[in-house]
Amino acid sequence: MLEAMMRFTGQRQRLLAHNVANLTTPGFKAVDVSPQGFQAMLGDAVEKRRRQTGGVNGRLDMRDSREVRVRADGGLSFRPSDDVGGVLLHDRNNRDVERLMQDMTENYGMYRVANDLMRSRLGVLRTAISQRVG
Amino acid sequence: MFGSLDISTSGMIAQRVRLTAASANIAGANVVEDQFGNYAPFLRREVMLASGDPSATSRDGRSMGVHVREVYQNPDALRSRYMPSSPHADENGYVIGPDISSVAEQVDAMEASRAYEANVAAAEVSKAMLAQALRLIA
Amino acid sequence: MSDPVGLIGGAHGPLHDGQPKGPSNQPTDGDAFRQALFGQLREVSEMRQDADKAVEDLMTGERADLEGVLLATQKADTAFQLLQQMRNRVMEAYQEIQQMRV
Repeated sequence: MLEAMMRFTGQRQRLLAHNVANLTTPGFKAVDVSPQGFQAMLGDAVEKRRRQTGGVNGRLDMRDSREVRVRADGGLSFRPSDDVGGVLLHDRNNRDVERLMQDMTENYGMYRVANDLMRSRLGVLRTAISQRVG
Repeated sequence: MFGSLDISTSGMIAQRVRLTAASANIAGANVVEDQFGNYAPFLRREVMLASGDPSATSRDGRSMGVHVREVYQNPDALRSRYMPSSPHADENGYVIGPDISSVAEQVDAMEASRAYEANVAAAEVSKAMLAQALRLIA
Repeated sequence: MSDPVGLIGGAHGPLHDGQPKGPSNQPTDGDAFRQALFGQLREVSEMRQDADKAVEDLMTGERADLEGVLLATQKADTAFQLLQQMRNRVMEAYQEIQQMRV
């Protein structure tokens, strides 16, 4: 589940970088996928798993949403929407640097949290495996 | 995730082309002849950007990022300039010369510079994510 | 049987209720030790479950307090490592006893 979040935020960073690269492209409309939507997807899958196994183990079965599709290899396919608000400017671009920077920062924050939690979990596992007696 | 670095780089390159064009326009604002002395008014350079990056290697990569579609030399950016000392001036001292406003070019340059910095910030975030991912193994 | 390594009631920390118990000389010591050990295992397992659930809730947006989740994971990890160390000491003691020439 932590990997799912890392994958999502990693791929969303590509989308945000795309928006930043096209800050001054005339006619460009910024696109994004909603992190709340993804969290809802995760929430549904977690609920289902809790009902089935009563705990935190087992595979997560994620249902596709309108924006995010789970591929067979576990990867995620995005279908971003372009109604991100913003004012339409003279070159028909609806850029909003501040909002973009904020989105990038939040996305990176989510990535860091998932990554650090996974790292600490892996660390404990590794210690457990490597401990020898005597 | 390597893709996002490519995207930010394409953004930086595009903005730098815009900066270069603005500098060229400022430098050529009063140029009406070429190096041989022939009448050749400087045409304002206009950078046309388009999203996508045809030089990317993967099909996904080609739809992301930005590239310079063309650097258009605008033949209509000309107006009558009062340059009585020029050998190409007519009897009233006017030459058809470049219609370039330094102020407008500087504003373009500032906007391009700001967009360049935004792309640098995006690249920094991508790099930080990569570094964090690598620390999972270490 | 006395308690050479001071396992029973010796250590203080998140796994014990802070009541030090002296070494006991009752014949059912083995039972008491086993129950204590399994009790610790269960506690640690519960802490890990709680921590995992907290992480899940953080990821799905159910809870927003990162500090609480981090605290829960740190507690669970520390408890787990403590349990590990306990296991190591027990094994060392066992091997030491084994090597004793009778």
